[in-house]
Amino acid sequence: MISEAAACRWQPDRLRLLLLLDACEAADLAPVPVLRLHALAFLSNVLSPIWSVESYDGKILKRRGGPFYPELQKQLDRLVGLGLVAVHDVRYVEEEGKWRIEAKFSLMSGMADTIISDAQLFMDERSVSEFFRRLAFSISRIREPLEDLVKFDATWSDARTGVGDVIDFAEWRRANYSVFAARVFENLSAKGATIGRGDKLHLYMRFLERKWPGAAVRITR
Amino acid sequence: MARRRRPDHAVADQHSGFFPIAVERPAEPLRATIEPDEPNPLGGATEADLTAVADDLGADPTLEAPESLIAIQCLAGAIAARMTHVDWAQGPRQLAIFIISDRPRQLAASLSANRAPILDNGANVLTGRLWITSPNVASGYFCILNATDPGGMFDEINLMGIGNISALVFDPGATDPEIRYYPEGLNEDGRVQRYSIAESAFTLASLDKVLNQFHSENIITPDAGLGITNPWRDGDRYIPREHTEAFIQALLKMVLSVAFGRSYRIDFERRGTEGRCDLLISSRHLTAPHTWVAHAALELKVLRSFTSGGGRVSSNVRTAAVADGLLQAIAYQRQEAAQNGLLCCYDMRAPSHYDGAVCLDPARPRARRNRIDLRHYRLYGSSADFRTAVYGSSD
Repeated sequence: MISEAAACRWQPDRLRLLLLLDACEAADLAPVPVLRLHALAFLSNVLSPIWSVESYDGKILKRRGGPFYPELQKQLDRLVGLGLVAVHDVRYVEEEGKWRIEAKFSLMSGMADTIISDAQLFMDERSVSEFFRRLAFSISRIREPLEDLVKFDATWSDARTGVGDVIDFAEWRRANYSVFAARVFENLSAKGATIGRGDKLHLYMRFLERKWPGAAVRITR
Repeated sequence: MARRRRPDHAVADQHSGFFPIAVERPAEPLRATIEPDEPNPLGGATEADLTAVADDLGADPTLEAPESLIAIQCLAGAIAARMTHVDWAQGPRQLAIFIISDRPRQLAASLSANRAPILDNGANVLTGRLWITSPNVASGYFCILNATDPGGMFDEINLMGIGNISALVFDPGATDPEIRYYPEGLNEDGRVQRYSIAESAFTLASLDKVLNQFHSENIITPDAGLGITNPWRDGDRYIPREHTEAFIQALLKMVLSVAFGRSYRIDFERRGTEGRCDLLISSRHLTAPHTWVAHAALELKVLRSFTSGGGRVSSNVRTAAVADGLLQAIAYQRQEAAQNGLLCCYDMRAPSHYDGAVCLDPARPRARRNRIDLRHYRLYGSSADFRTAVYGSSD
C-alpha cells in the first residue's frame, strides 16, 4: 500500500484530487458530497488562470445534473481503495429515473497528509495548493450548495453549448467566459479601485450566489 | 487529461510554512483565455449581474495573505457581527479562544468538540469557549472550558495538548477591542501580536492609533514580526526585503480592514489621473446611494540605507523619496477629495544614517500648507538596536 501511495505523488490526477480534498479540509468543507467535489474541480479548472495556475482539464461534458468528471471519479475511488480518502454517508439517490451512489469524501489523516506535505515542496504544487485553498475559502463564505450554484457559471451556463455537448474552454478553443467575467470586475468596481486576484474569486462567488433564485447574500455591508 | 508536468528537481524552494504576501496586482493569465473576436465573451453571465456584485468589493478578507492573517481578518468580521447582536451584552465576559487549524474537523473530533455550522453571522456565543476553526472562520467547533480566568483557560488548553497550535484570543472585557495572535500557540504566550478591531468610527486619532499599533506590534523589529510581518531580508545589516513598500502596504491594508471593519473600504493602489493612491479609506455616503466618502488617502514611503540586493542608497535618493511622497500625498488627497492626507515614512535606515525625523523637516512647510499630515515610524534591524535606542548602549 505504501508503494502505491508513494506512486500517487507522480500521478497528477490523484495528487490534484488530494490537493482539492486538502483545500476542503482547510476550509472546513469536508466531508464533501461527491457532486460538490466535482463542482469544485470544475471551478478550479475554469478559474485557475486568475491565480496564474494552468487549467488541469480544459473541457467537460455538459450534463444536466452539473459538472462530473468520470476520470476524476475513477481516481477518487482508487484513492479510497488506497486508504488515502475516507467515504461517509453512502446512499443511493434517484436522478431523472436513474439511481446513482451518493457519498461524501474526506482525506484520511496520516498518509494523505504526508503526500500533500511532500508535494508542497514543489513550487508548482504549492501554487496549485494555495489556489485550491483560496478558492475553497471563498466558497465557504457562500450559503447555497456549490453543486447548484456552479450551473450559473459563465462558461457552464453559456447557451451556445447544449446539454450533451462538450464545453471546450481551454483545450482546443479559448472560451473561458468565467475568467473573462471575473476580469470585468476591474472595470465595474468603484472608480479606479485595484482588484486583486482574491477579490476576483470572492466577487465571482457572490455573482454565482446572486444568480441563485431567492438567494440571500450572506455578507452585507 | 494531464496538461502539465513540472521538473522533479524543483524542490524545497523557500518553503517557510507561510505563503509570501503577494502584491495585489491583477495576475496575468498564463495564456489568452478568450478568442479576440469572441462575440459574447461573458458567456452565460450578464454585465448587469456582475455590476450588481462589484459594489461588494472589499467586504471579504484578502486572500493573498498568509492563512494566519486571513484568519485574523475573518475573526474580526465574526466578532464585529457578534458585537452588534442583541444578545451580546448578556454573553459570558470570559475570553473567546480560537485554535486555527487547516484540519479543524479532525482536531475537533479528537477533542469531542461540538459543531457550529455557521460561526460568522453573530448568532453564536463566542466568549467563554474554546473554538477550533479553519482560517476562514465561517464554521467551527467548540468546547466549553471549565476555567473562567485567562490563565486557567490557557492552562486548560495546554493540558488538552493543543497549546502549540496557533491561536487567536478575543477578550470582551478589554477597553479597546482587539485580537491577540499567538503564532506558536498559547504555550508561547510571550510571542503575541495585537490587532485593533471594531473601531466604530473613522477619526484621524483612531487611524493614528491603528498605525501606531501596527508599527509597535508588527514591524518595529524583526522579532516583532514573529516570522510573518518581518520587513527585513537581513535586519542585522539593515537590508530590507524585496518590494518592502508593497509588503508594508499589503499588511497595512489588512490591518486597516481588520480595525475599521465592514463599514469601511480600504482600497489599494487606487488609480486616478494623478497616479495610484497607495491606500484609501472610505465609507458609504449615508444618504447618496453608490457614493463613497473618502476619509483618508495614505502615501507610504520607505527610507532605507540599502536596497534589497545590498546596494547602497544615497541620501539624495532618500530626500527625493520624501519630497516625491509629499507631492503624491497632496495629489491623491485632492484627486480623491479625501478629508485627510497622510505621508507615512517607514524609516529603515542603518543607525549610522539615522537622524530621527529630521529628514522630514524640508517637507514640513509644504505639508502644512497643503494640510498633509506627516508620520514617521522607525524600523530597527534588530531588537538589540531597538534596546540601544530606547535605553542607551550597554557601554
